[in-house]
Amino acid sequence: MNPRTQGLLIGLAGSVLLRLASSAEYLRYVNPWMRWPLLATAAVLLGLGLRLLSAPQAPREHTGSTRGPWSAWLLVLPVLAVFAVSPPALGAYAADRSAVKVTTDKNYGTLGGGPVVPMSVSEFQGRAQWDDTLSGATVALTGFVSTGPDGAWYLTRLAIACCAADAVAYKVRIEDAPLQPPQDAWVRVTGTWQKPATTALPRLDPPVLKVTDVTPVATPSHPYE
Amino acid sequence: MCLDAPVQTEPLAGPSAGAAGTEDGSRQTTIVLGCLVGAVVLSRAFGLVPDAPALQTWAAMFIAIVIQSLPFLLLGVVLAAAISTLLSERVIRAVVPQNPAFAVPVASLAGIGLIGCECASVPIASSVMRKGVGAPAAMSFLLAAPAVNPVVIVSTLVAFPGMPQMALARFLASFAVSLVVGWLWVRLGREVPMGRRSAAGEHDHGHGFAGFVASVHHDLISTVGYLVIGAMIAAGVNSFVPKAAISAVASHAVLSVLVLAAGAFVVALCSQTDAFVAASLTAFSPTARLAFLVVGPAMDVKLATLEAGVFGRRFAVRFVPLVLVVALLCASLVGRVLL
Repeated sequence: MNPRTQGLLIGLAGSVLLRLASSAEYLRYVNPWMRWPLLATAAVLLGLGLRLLSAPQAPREHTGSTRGPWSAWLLVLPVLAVFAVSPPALGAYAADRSAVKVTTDKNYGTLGGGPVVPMSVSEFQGRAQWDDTLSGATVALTGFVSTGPDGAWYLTRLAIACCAADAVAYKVRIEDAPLQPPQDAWVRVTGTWQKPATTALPRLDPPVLKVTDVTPVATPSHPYE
Repeated sequence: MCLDAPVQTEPLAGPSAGAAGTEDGSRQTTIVLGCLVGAVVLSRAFGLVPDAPALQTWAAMFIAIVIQSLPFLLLGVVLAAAISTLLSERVIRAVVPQNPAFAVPVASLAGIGLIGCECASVPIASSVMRKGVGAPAAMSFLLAAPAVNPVVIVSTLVAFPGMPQMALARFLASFAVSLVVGWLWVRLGREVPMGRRSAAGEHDHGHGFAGFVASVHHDLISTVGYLVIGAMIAAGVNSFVPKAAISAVASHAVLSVLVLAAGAFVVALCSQTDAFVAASLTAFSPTARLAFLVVGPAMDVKLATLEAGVFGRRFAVRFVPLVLVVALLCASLVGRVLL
């Protein structure tokens, strides 16, 4: 690979980061705080790429050593992945493969007031695993649909620690739903927690929500909790 | 990562002497650009992109690892270039004591301040040896520099949020590896012949801003491919390999450590980005992931090749297994205590 092509690929890698970080698209893959590091990296890569592209070619006697390592060609893969494939945020397929997350023992405190308490899926699962604060309350949860082996469906939300590759799933088993939305559809459900019979803490089976209402919603721009 | 070091880094201001070379260069660039644009347009226009969930998941994880790692890779490359332009190896030689047993810990500590990719430390170690620093201290430096520098520690902290003990364990285990191997080499290494060929990777990028840019360019272009390979493999493990197979390996304490250590050796990631790959291997125990982080920067397939080339084959057949065994033991011990 000659220096100009290296410059082209480095510049394209910079434009990949620029495209992702200049809209909410980067939130499909990494955490919100990565925006500025991505933009800064994009600026440096674009600058370096343009410098290599615009520089005059090296004299003939040097061209014996102008080939970069073969591995540098692999830079075309992330460029193609973003510009040609542009995959959506992780969904039900990734959630199925993820282990159930046991939240560390947290004192969530008493539930907020109001007839319907909106809550993150991770908080719901944490409370359901460790205490009884959900008893009797009507909660609203937002997530996507994934289906279990027995045909039951789950309201699911993925949480990422660093980037999407380390996502873990929080799942709530939905019962009595008036409708079953398709896999990966985003919905907001309202319902009450069904306290299981088991007395051992933490309760490791996915918590059960008896729902009264299922409303389709748009995919949130920040899909991870 | 200067495995095959002939990367073009001559200052790019030279006169364009060979018209034929210039034409070849432009043609290749045009062809690559054309193919990429064509692929994007065709796949968009005709819906050629496979929408199987497994492939989409793989692509999303692949992009995630690559873009999370790139800023840290670039930070490391830029700092390394700044340091190599500012700090000469004469300074290193001046601070390293003559007594090899004392020189070893000093060289390990020097590794903290010197930010560079693994293979940049091979030519540095070779050149400080030529200037009179003993082989054991050079080996300690070689093992410490890529593993305990601030960029690596910060990227490990970022990759494992809420788990700072992983960064601490990595620092301690890698530091221990460099001390143990250095001191073992003081006792055992005398009979081992060491070639001191001038390394192919011993690059001098010139001075000033042009040299700085050339160094960034060289290090970036020779490391970024390995990052892409690592991201492809880690995303593949997370999206294609059957869950049952992963949990069978991951649930076995010894096997999981050996598998991830072997993985680190084969994949040969850059130490500034390997924490993000390790963090994505969520099925594995923290100790197994620590082994991945400690073995990788100390020894992997590209370092082994590079060291065989620079220090000689007879050196490499002793040094490579020694480092692997010490790194595995240190990682397992520290992991048992801290994680």
